[in-house]
Formats: sequence, structure tokens, C-alpha cells
Amino acid sequence: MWSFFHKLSSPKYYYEWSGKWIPWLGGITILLTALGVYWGLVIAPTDYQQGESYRIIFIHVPAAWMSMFIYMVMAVAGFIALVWKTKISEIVVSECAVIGAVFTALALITGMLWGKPTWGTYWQWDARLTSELILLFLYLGVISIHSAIEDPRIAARAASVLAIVGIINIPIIHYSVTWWNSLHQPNMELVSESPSMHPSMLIPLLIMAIAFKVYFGWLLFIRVRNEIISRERSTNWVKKLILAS
Amino acid sequence: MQEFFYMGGKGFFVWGSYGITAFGLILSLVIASRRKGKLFKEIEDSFEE
Repeated sequence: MWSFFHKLSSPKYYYEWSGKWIPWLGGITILLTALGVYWGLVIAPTDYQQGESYRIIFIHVPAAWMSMFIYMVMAVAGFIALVWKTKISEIVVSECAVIGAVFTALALITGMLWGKPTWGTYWQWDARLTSELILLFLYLGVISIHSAIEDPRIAARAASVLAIVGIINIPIIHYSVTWWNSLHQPNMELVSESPSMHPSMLIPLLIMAIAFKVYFGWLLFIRVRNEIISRERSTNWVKKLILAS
Repeated sequence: MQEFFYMGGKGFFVWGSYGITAFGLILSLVIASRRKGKLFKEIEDSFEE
């Protein structure tokens, strides 16, 4: 297994290996998203309290989960970049920041669109909402570091430090609804004898969560491959690749 | 069908959420794919110089 990870740190090997996965990830994303959206909008019953507006959770909750998941991937890649200084992990940090910022922005916007009909307001300086907004600023900070520092390797080191330090915000987001009085509802209990959601609603939610994860893998591979080509443009293998295409 | 789009009077919020999400995710993919095309062309052009 270690030899596989060792090989994966080579830009050429990573480029070839990830290229095989891209069509599969794209196909699975499209299929799962179509199924999840159809189930969430058409098959799932209307909620007896929230009415139809609850259907927003089928994209809001997976987007919010992704915003935290991507940050953890970015922090782990940042740790690897600082300790082992592999080019791939440095690229993963910068590309995760962009994708993570998109998912965090989507979680905030869809949350606001859910909040208006449910709470009567788009925004509240509530612990959950504020900590999620801080997460967006952390992502924007990592992106800014990459844009501000010309040398990508020095930028990656600085961005990795911010990514690792910022991970403190992840448990704060998760437990914010427990630690503080919050307008936001408590965390959902998915794995228990009595899950807080009926299977008719839980299944499309989980399908969308998997679809978003696969989408993340798909987009990350595409973006990392682009960055590899950009950084390795003077190498023979990239020249051969371009001439062959 | 009209009832489906009306979403019990919450159509703006429900369709707005799905629309913005679809826009964000598709745009991210389009930007990444276009960058690949641009990069390949840029590197190819540098061979001719």
C-alpha cells in the first residue's frame, strides 16, 4: 500500500492513474444526482411541519457535509505537503480550497433559502451559521495565499499551515448546535435505533451525499491534472502528451 | 404539473436552491474543462515559437 502512495506522489503517475477514473466518476455523479434529485423532489413525501421547503435539505445538508469533508482532505494534504513536501499534495491543497469554497458558499446560500420560509429570516448571527461563514473565509484565505505568493511551493507551505490551523473550526461547526443555544436544529442522528429521519427522506439525502462526494473526486482529479500539466510543462512527458493529443 | 413547480408556495426557495447548486457545480466543471483546453493550446503554441 505504501508503495502505491509513493508512486502516486509522482506527477506523471498521478496524471495517468487519475485519468482512468475520470469517466467513471463523471458517470456515477450524473446517475446518482439524477436519482437523488428525482427521489428528493418527486418521490419523497411532503414534510408535515415544513411543507415543501424541506426539500432544500437534500442539497443543503450534503453541501454542508462536503464543506467540512473537503476541509479535512485539504488539511491532511497540507500536513503531507509540509512533512513529505510532495508536489501532488501541494496541488491538492490549492485545488481543494477552490472546490471547498464553492460547496461552502452553496451550503450558506441554500441554507439562507431554507431559513427564510422556515425561520422567517435569511440570516441570523447564530453559532452554526457564523462558524460556517468562517469556514468560507478560511477557504478564501488559502486561495488568497496561492494568488499572492508567486512561487507555488512557498505558497503551498504557507497555505498548508493555514489549512492545518483552521481545522479547529470543524468541530466548532459540528458541535455549535450543542454548545450554544442555536436557531439551527440539532445534528441528525443517522446511525441509531431510531434515526431522526424517515427512510423515505433519509435515502435520497444519503444518495445526494454520495453523489456530491463522487463529484468532488471527479472535479478534484480534473483540476489537479490541469495544475500538473501547468507546472510540468517543461518536462518531456508533458511535451509528448501534448504532441500526441 | 403546475402544483409541482408551485411547491406549495415555496417554489422560489426550492427551485432557487436547486438552480443555484446546479449552476455552481456545472460552472466549476466547465471552468476546469476549459482550462485544460487553454493549457494544451498554450503549451502547443510554445513549441512553434
